Formats: sequence, structure tokens, C-alpha cells
Amino acid sequence: MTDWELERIRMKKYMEMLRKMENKGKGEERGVRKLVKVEVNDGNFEEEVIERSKDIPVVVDFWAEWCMPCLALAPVLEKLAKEYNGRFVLAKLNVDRNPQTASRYGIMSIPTVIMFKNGKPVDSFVGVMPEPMIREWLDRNL
Amino acid sequence: MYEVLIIGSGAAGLSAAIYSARYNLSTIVLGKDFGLASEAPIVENYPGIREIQGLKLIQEMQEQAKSLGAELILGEEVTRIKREKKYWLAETHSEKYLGKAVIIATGSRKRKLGIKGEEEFVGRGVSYCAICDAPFYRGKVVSVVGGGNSALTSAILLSEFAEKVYLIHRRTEFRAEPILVDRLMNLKKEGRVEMKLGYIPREIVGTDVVEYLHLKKVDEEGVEEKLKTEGIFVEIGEVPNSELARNLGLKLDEEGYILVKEDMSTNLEGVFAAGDVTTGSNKLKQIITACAEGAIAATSAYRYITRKYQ
Ligand SMILES: Cc1cc2nc3c(=O)[nH]c(=O)nc-3n(C[C@H](O)[C@H](O)[C@H](O)COP(=O)(O)OP(=O)(O)OC[C@H]3O[C@@H](n4cnc5c(N)ncnc54)[C@H](O)[C@@H]3O)c2cc1C
Repeated sequence: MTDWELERIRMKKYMEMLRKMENKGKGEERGVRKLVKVEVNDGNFEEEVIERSKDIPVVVDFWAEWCMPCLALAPVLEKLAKEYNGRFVLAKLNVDRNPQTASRYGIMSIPTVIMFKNGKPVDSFVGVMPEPMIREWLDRNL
Repeated sequence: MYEVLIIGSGAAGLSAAIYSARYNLSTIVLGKDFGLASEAPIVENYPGIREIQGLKLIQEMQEQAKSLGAELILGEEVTRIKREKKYWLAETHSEKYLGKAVIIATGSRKRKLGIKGEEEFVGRGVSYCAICDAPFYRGKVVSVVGGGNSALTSAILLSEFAEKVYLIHRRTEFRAEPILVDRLMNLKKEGRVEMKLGYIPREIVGTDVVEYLHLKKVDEEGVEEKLKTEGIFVEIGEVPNSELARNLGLKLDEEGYILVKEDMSTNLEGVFAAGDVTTGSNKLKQIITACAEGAIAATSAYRYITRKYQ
């Protein structure tokens, strides 16, 4: 193989890696049919979380890119959101970009996960919990 | 059925996966998270890379292991490892994985203070991860408890955000790299860090969130001091995650570390261990030693499998 060919393969791999990273956790995601996940921010929190939670429980995941426990918790929450298929909506809030909402709810450690029902926070947990405990927490609160 | 099951997804487990995959062994890594190295704000002692965020370094290792063909399952806690005829079975909350050899690389977890108020205020002022939570303490007064590398690293990082950092340490000397001690001393000179040496925490007090940390002088009875602080970062060392190993029947030393030989083998044939959870590398608990032990463990697993199955 020539250097040039090698370089092209390397570029291709690199582009694939980038694409994979970009596709991770962007925008809205639907399960089989129901809405299971949204990204929320300071601007739309009222509507996407508070208002929506009057119809359907919303579980807000307060996270940031520099928080590795958050990165570990995220796939577990996403898996459960898909599996519960619409019994709750998972809302991701990046605390780094949305400090207002984070401080309004007194977030001091991340990940913090808060369940909203009827426009109000009803229960929360802090840190990474094993999947069965998150299930229990969901079942208790839904 | 896999050839190699790796339990733990930190530096040791990922390095073992890279080597194991390159030996053409079918390899799976089962791990809860990114491991402790991902908490290092910057790593400056991994040769060949002048400086890198710990999380970035671990993510690179993950990609490298995956691109070589190892499977990586994150967010999975292994609850039991047991013998299954001549194989080994690892159970998680929802799945079972069978393998010819096992590498245990479960690392360690932060030691808790064990004082009143600690559990109550987790997430409301008490933290075990400075890099995760530092930005919430912008302009506030925080305390770091401990005197080793992790405590000093945390104090230095927090001084970038907090108005003031107290460093509470039971001894009067630090057990940390001199370069970190020098940086800390400079911050002390600038008035950004204040030392509380010879003190131990007694109680955490507050109404809704942390307000005070009560301290006691190590050598005097009864004298308490109330420190006004909004954040308490606990960095008093680590305890090995060796419960799985103990239940499997592995021999541990008196501190709970898995006893390994030079080839990272344990007292059970086909079970190897690597990283911070072992007695290896003269107990130097670093990324480079975790990686080295992972490489050795994978090589020993390869030799074991070839000997036994071919
Ligand atoms: C703040 C901080 C800064 C540091 N800075 C540096 C530095 O600059 N340079 C350096 O060389 N070292 C540094 N270290 C030390 C370094 O992080 C460790 O030596 C290294 O992470 C050890 O790797 P490991 O793979 O053995 O263990 P870990 O990184 O602890 O990984 C173990 C993994 O196994 C997982 N696990 C445990 N039990 C189970 C189970 N039952 N099921 C599934 N998974 C499980 C854990 O969740 C974890 O992901 C630092 C440590 C800290 C805390």
C-alpha cells in the first residue's frame, strides 16, 4: 500500500469516528412510536418540562460534557426511556449551557436526575445508580 | 462464549482488551463507567502525551479497543463471577457471559469519611468528584479533605473556580508528588488556598445544603472548630473493588487487594487481575502501571488459553 492509500483509509476512519460522535444524543428521539427523549434548555424548559409534565411524567437528566459519571449514566437512562416507550419522557439538560435552570433547581452535583409530574419536581437522585435501582425508582414514581 | 472476559472498563481493563484483541482472542469488556483516570483534570505523566484530559485519554483507549475488535459494554455492573465447569461465568443484572479466561480490573472507589451529615448532603454540598462539580462552586468557599495526589489535584482545580479553598488534612505533611505540593504552596501564597493541617472532620451541618464543616484537632480532645463552607470534596484515598474477587475465592492481602504473581495470575487458574485492584507494580496506583498490568494479564490469558485449548 502506498502512503497515500494509507492516509485515505486513516481519514475515512477518522470521519466515521467523528460522525459516530456527532450522532450521539442529538435532538429528539422516538421509540417505536412515542416520544421518548428531548433536549431542553433554559429557553424551553417551561414548555418542554413543566407544561409537558402535566400530561406525562418528565425525567430530567442534568448533565455536562466534562462529567464522566454523566456519560456513564446517559445510555442507561436512554435505554430505559426507550423500553418504557412513552410512559415518561427523558429530557436532557446541559448544565454548562443552561446555568439558569440548573441553579433554579439547586443542582450542585451531576448527574442529578429529577422527575417532574404535574408541573412539579417529585423525586430525584444524584450520581450513577445501577440499572435495577433506576427501574425501581421509576416504577415507584410513575 | 468469549475467550476473554474483562471485568472493569478503566485503564487496566481497556489496555487488557487492546492486547487481548490483538492476540485474536474474542474479547468483551463489562464495565460500569470510565474509571478513575477519567477524573484527572489533566494527565501529565503518561509518556508520549505531554498533557491530556483524563476523560479524553480513556475515550481514546475505548475507541482503540473497539477498533481492534473488542466488544465494550458500559453501564453494566457485574454482580457475580463463578466457575461454570471449565469456564467462567460473569453475571450482570440482566445478562450472563461465559468465557475461557477472566481478567478482573475493577479498580477502586473513593473512601467515605463516615461522619454525620455525609450521606445526607451528597449532591447538596458533599462531592466525591471535583472535576464533575467544581463549576457549581464558582465564587464560593469549599473544603477538600485529604492529603494525597487526588486531594491536591482537586484543591488545585477547585481554586480555579472557588473564592477560597480550605485543605483539611490529618497530618502535617502531604503524601503527594512534590510538583503538586509546589503548586499548592503557590496557591497558598496567593491566598486562594488555606491549610488546616492536623485536623479531622467531625460532622457536616446545614439545613437544606451544606453550611458548616465541624473539625477537630487530631491531638487535642474535645476542641472543635466550625468552618463555614458550601462544598466538601472528599479525597481521603481509595478502597479496592475486590468484593467480586473475594466471593469468587481469590486470595486478597490484608488491605483487600487481589494477590497477583508477576504474570498477573491469581490463585485460581484462568483468572487474572490487573490495575489498582491488585498488589502488582509495587502498588503504584497510576494509569501507566494499570495499563502495563492489563497488557501482562492479557498476555498471560493468551498463554493460558493456548495451552489449555489447543
Ligand atoms: C482525581 C484523580 C486524578 C488522577 N490523576 C492521575 C494522573 O494524572 N496520572 C496517573 O497516572 N494516574 C492518575 N490517577 C490514578 C488513576 O486514575 C488510576 O491509577 C487508574 O484509573 C487505575 O485504573 P484501573 O483500570 O485499575 O481502575 P479504575 O480506573 O478505577 O477502573 C475500574 C473500572 O471498573 C469498574 N468496575 C468496578 N467494579 C465493577 C463491577 N462489579 N462491574 C463492572 N465494572 C466494575 C469501575 O466502575 C471502573 O470503571 C488519578 C486518580 C484520581 C482519582
